[in-house]
Formats: sequence, C-alpha cells, structure tokens
Amino acid sequence: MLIACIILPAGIVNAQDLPPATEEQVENLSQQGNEEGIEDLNISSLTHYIEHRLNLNEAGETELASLQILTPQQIRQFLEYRRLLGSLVSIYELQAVPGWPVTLIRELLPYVQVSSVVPVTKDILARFRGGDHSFSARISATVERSRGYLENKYQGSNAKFLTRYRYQFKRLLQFGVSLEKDAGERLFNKRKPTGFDFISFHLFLRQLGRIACMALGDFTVSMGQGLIQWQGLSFKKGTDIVAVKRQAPVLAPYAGAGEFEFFRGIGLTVQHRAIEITGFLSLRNLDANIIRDSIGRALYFTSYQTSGNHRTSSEREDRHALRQMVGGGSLTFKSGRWKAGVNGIYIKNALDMQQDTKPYNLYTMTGDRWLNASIHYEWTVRSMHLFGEAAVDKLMRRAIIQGVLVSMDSRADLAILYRRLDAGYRSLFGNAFTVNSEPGNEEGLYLGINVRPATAWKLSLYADHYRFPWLKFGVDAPSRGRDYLVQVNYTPDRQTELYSRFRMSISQSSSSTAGVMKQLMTEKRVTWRIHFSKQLTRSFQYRNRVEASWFSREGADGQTGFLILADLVYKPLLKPFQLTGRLQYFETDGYDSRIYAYENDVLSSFSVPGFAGRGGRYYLLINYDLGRRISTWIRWGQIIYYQNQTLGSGYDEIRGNKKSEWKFQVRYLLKGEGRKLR
Amino acid sequence: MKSGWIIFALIWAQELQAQSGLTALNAGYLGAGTYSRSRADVFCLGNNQAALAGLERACAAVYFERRFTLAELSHYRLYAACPVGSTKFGLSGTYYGSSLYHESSIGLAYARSLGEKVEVGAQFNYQSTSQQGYGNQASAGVELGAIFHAAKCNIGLQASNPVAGLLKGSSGPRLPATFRFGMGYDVSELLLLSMELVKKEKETIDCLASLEFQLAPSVYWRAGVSSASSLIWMSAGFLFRQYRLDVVASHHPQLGFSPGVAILFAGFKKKSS
Repeated sequence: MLIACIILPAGIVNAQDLPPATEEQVENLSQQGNEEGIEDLNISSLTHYIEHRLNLNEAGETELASLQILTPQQIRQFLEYRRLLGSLVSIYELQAVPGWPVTLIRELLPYVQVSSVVPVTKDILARFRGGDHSFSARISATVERSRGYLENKYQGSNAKFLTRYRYQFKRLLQFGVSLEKDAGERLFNKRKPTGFDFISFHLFLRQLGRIACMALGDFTVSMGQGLIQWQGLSFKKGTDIVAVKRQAPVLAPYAGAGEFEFFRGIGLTVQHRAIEITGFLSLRNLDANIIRDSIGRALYFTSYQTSGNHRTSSEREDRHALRQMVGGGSLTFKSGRWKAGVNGIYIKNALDMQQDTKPYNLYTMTGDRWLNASIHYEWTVRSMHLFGEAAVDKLMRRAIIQGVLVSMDSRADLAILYRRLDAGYRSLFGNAFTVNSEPGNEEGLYLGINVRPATAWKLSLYADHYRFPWLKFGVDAPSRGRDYLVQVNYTPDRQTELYSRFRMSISQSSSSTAGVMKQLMTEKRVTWRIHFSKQLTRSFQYRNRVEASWFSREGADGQTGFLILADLVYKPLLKPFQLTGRLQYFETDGYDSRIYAYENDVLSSFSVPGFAGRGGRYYLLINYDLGRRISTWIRWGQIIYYQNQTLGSGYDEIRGNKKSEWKFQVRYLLKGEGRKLR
Repeated sequence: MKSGWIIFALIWAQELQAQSGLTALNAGYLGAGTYSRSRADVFCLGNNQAALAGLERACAAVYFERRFTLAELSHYRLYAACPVGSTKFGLSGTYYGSSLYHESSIGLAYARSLGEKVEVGAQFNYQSTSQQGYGNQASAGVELGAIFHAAKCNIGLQASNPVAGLLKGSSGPRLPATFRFGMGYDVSELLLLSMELVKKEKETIDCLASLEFQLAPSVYWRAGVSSASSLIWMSAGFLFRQYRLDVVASHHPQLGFSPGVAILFAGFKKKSS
C-alpha cells in the first residue's frame, strides 16, 4: 500500500506538462532566439514517449539516455539490476533499483511502462500491420494583421498549417509524412504544385538482424558530445546536471516542422558484438542568401537561412537555392563500462560561402566544402562517469570537451565540464555544451551539483566561468563571462511543489556609441523566480509564479522586470476534457529585462513567449476527446500592452496594443494501442 | 492551533509607498501572520483577505502609528471580523494625514475555506482623498486573494485592482494595480518565517521578510526588513486573556523612527482545540 501510494502517478506532471527541468531548458532555448527550433529539436521525443511509453524490460542504454532524465550511473544501475534479477514484474519494482530515489521515479512515470518483452519478428512486412496510425492537423493564426499583410508583402494567408501522418510499430518501425505552411506563405503556386511549403518524409527501422537501425528520408544524426555533429535533443546549462552530457542515438527519425536541422537521404547503423558502425548520406536543397551576377548566375552565398519562412519575394528567392551534400559516419566500440569511437562528417555545397569581411567573421567557414572529425569516449569508474570528445575541422583547428559526472552520495551528484574550442574552430551542425549557440571560440569550466539533503528538499547549484578568445557579433574584443544558479526545490507531498531559482549572468558586450574603438561594457543580468504548484483536488491543479529581473550595463541606466502569473488546470476524472487557463501581469523597463514564461500549448507544440513592456496576458486551452480515437485542442491567447501604440517591427509590426492568437488541432488514431493524451 | 491566544497583534508589513499614505509604514504587517495556519488574525485584511477564513471567532483591532514622529503623518486603522457559518466577513477602515491633506478608505471583505488546503477572499474598498482648497477625489476598488496550505508551508497570492480603477470626480490617475505573492513557513509552534513580494504598478518591487518568535507564552517578538524602503522594524507583543497589545517601531536610515501601537481583541467565544 505504501509503495502504491508513492508510485501512483504524481498529480503534478500530467501528460501535457514537461518536467520542470525540461521546461527550464525550453525557456532557455527561447531566450537564445531559437523559437523555431523548439518544435523540431526533438523535444517532441518526450511527448512521443508519453504516447508510446518506453518498455523498461526492453529499453537499452541509448533509449534510457534519450529520456534526458537519468544519469549514466542511474542507467547502469538499472541495467545491472535487470541483468541480475530479470525483467521487472511491475512498475512498483523500480523502488528496488539501487540509486533510484522516489523523486526520480515520479519524474519518469509519464514516459515508461513495464510490460513483457515481445520477440522481434523476422518478418519485416509484419511490422507494417498492427501498429499505430496517427493523423494530426493543426492550424493557428494571429488575429491582428501585421504590416506585411496590409502592404501585400506576404503573399499568403496569416494562417500557419501543419499536418502529420505517422505509423509506428512499437520501436521497430516508424514512418510518416509532415506537411507545413508557415504564416504568410502561399499554399499553392507554380513553385509548389504540392501546395505546402515544407514536406518531410521519414522511414525508420530498428533491429533488422545485424542492422541496428536504418533511416530513409529525413533523419537526424548525433555523434560524440556534439563538437562536430548533433541534431538530437540538446540542452544547455540548467538545474539538472544530466544535461551536461549529450545523450542520444546516432540516428533518429525526423518528423519535426523545422526546415534546417536534419538530413535527407539514407543512414544505416550496423552492429556486430561490441562494434557499431554508422554511415549516412544526405542530399538536399537548403535556403541560402545567394549573391548573383548581373545576368543572374549564382556566384556564392553569404549565409544559410534557417527560419524556413518564404513569405516575401526575397525570402522566396532564397528558398532551396543551395544544393548540399553531406556524408559521414561513426565507428564505436563498447566494452563493459567504456565506450570509444571516431566520427567524421564531410559537407559539400554547390557554391562557395563568403561572408562580410568584418573582424568577427575572420574565422568563418569559407569555400564550398568542410570537414570535421573527432574521437569520443565514455568510461564509468566506480561512481564516476567520464566522457569527452576531441575534434578538428578542415583547417586543423581544434576543440575538446572533457567532463565527469560523479555520484558522490545517494543524495548528491556532481558534474564538472571543461571545454576549449579554438577561436577559429567551426562545425556547421555541431551543438555542444557551450555558451555560444555553435561550437567554437570558447573556453570554459562548468561546475554543477544536485543535493537532496532531505526527502522533500533538493538543492541545485552551478557555476560557469568562460571566455571567448576572439570577437563575436556585438562584441568587438575577446571577452569573458560567468553564470551562476541556485535553486531550492521543496516537495512536501505528491501534490505540492515549490521552488525558488536565483540566476546571475555577467557578460561583456560592446558599447553602442559610434566610433571605431568600442569599449567593452560589463552587463549583469539577475533573475529570481518563485514557482508554486499544487494539486488542490483530484480535478483541479493550481500553479503560481513570480519572477523578477534586474539588468545593468556599465554606463547605462539599469532595468528591472516583474512577472506574476496564475494557472488553473481543470481535469475531471472520467471526463473527456481538460481546461487550462492563465492570467498574467508583466512589467519591465525594457527589452533587456524581459522575462520568458513557458505556456501550455496543444500537443507537440511549445510556447515560450518573452515579455517586455507593461501589460497583461491570458490564454485558455481546451482539450476535448471526441470518442476513443479523436482528440481535439483549441487555444485562445491574448497579450495586451498598456502603453504601446504598435507592436513588433518591420513587416511584423501590428497597429494597436493587442496581439491575439488562436490555435486548433485535431488528432485521429486509426488503430493500434496509441494512448490518448490528456 | 493554540487555545486562547491565536491572534497576534503584531502583523506588520513594511510598505513605504510614497504614492499613498493608506499603506502603513509599520502596520499592515500581516506579511508574517497572513501566511500561517495558526497566526492569521484580523490584520490580514491589509495583506490577503483569504487569511480571514482561518479565524474562528469575532475579533477587532485598532492600530495607530506616527510616521517619522510627525503628527501630520499619523496613520490610523480599525479592523473587525466576524465568522458567519463557514464564511468570514471583515470590515476595515483607514485614515491617514491631517486636516490639510488626508486619505481614507473603508473596505468590506469576505473569505471562506475551500477545503483544508485552499482559502479565498475578496474585498471591496472605497477610497477618498481630500486636500484643503482642492476638494475631494474618490474611487472604488477590488482585491482578490487566495492562500494555499501544504504541510508547514503556506503560499498566497493577492491582486488589488488588477485591471485598475478610476478616480471619480476628476480625470485623475487610476488606482494602481498591486500584486502580492507571499510565503510562510511554520518552522514550529514557536517560530514562523515569512516573505512577501509586493509589486505596485510602476513602482519598485518590494521584498518583505520577517520572522516571529514566541519568547514566552504571553510574549512575542517580531522583526523584519523591507527592501524597497530600506526599513528595519521590530515589535513586541503582550497577551492578556483575549487582549493583545503590540508595540512596534521601524527605522529608516534618513527619515528616522516611526513608532506604532496596536490593540487587538480576540472575541469571547472560546475556540475549541
């Protein structure tokens, strides 16, 4: 009974909520300007696990690592437990796994299950029967028309449309199609006879004898610690030290709506005993800013266009303008508690890349081809897990990451990571644990610790000191920075969660005054958040947050910001609907003291708007299940600024002080065991 | 919950808000007692009306302070609360200033419990400002609050005029919106720690932190700080039967001391333990 009381699904995390640490990471991504990437950076892999829970009796190290919740030591402890004692009998048995506290189990519950192991069928065609079919369609639009529509610069409607079909047979077979049209894009024209601006297809098979997995169509590749190639789920600094180490399968299917961070072609992973070999080849057309001569011949390109928007004539000119071929592979050897491998990637573009001759562009990639290679390793020694990667690029510039995760005690975990990337090191698809969004021009030391001094308490701290040896955009000299975070979590019972997060970030940027010599100014950003969540009854959940921000820059007036919000979630038992509503007030002195707040959204969509100025925000999200197979979501939200006359800038400028958005999504499960999301 | 002396007259909230004298410098110090299961009293009307739901008998209180020892900056408060079945009603009156300039308000509050974990409340206020030679201005406002209890921790949220009111009688400024978020932790029967964040529209965030410690069965001591107004305050409370007397003083680094006194009457009905 006691076990049941502890293990019963926690009321705090429901199927549409992310774990707090993941929610924080999603907010961090949005702060870095990566809103478009939030949807396609495989965060949807977590919602995928909600719908197709990972069977703990079948999951291997890679699958468990892809949850981004477990440390390597916890994964090893679980696999060792399963090896010694056999398959788990029930989910309650997780409490017997050494090193797995109750809080960790609660965090895992929405994504895992315990069921019998189904033998892998040798008949591949049998996998195409009996699986889950899922069809979803989503449409959203902003009510107020921006300047781009009023002046007919955007040729299409202001509706954004996304539709997906996916078939999944356990984890053995997955294929699907995604069709997307962004706001402002035309649905049908000469260049798009198929109607949609973006079409994605993927076919992914696992466990075909020696072939561990095979990808056809769109897929992602992730190798090592991201110094040369990483398109999987990747987080930066956060309260959970697990995020320090990159963990994902080398090949994974891609079903996102982003139009840049994936490959299109074929990938194959072959495994023979302790050796795993992966090879991939991609050929596709990318958006790029092409420079042409007087008769229209393409000469070179200056940048990749990653937004995926093709609304205006200039954006449509860049669409699919650059042919790119990418090939590469990985060879990994695993034995007991260590793993090591070599990786390589080769990129060939149809045109040379040339950028502005600005000082910060001194080391930018040039030419029509690029190459990166690396070696990586992992090694578990007692309670320590060491990992690292060393990489070089085409010009033999070097990068290295070395980290260690230590389980100091059953209640304390430590992470240390050192990275050193040459000022000129570059990789196009790299994504490592760095401050910069792309690996290169950075050296730093990170120290993080999670402590659970008592059952209901958790303390998370990190400190990161770093420097940039060369210039950056907006920073006209080598510069330094440091980040600190302290978070205290208090969870007195299953229904209540309270945390207080204090974060400080000190960095440097160039002054905005005119002139040749621009001094470096120190900027300091401090935020303090208090978040409270409580399951009031079995049907009602309440959430409350207060956040304050302080920003200062040498030689300029400081800014402060404030945000307070209250959420109410109504999810009655045995009823087919759920309501989520929010009321919010924000007030900041300017853009530098803006505050981000994660919002509940329709399934597989993530909303993290930033708030600057003074105003209010509210939204209402309704999820209604029309029977066993059809689920619908409808969302209405509005921001009201108290003092603004216009919002946004350029073609996205809106007259007035309000911005309203509606969103509708429907999902139909054709057959199979797909579980409805609530 | 203690029998007899559950009402603490020393609920201070240090709110040095230059825009309105109706916010007392020392009193309103429910920032501590408001976010506690056992220490909430009628003074919570100044912080979060929802705490009124925890009262079990009728009570009344008066408070007086002389801001920076200046007679023209005197501040008076009168509170009363009465349980009616499962709901609680409260009445508040405030006066600040002198014959040359004064502000006053009167409020009617309502609170109730929604189970063991949640208390909600609302208050309607009528506020007026008078300046000799310039006439009067008046306005109405509303406050909404909620408090959540979890083990030893109590969390509260309160919004005053969230969409802002308008001063009647002239095209004067709106009543500003004010938001409060408070937390209290009942460490033990002797010690309470609490904190409140107050954000008034267009003003600096104020962080009020306080502690309350029971020195003896009839003597309480409280202390706290306010970040926005740089105030430190202390008070001592003395219990005698249903009565309580509090003496409070705060210190501002430039403006000096502000003394205050509060008398609270807890009602005749004996609370069942």
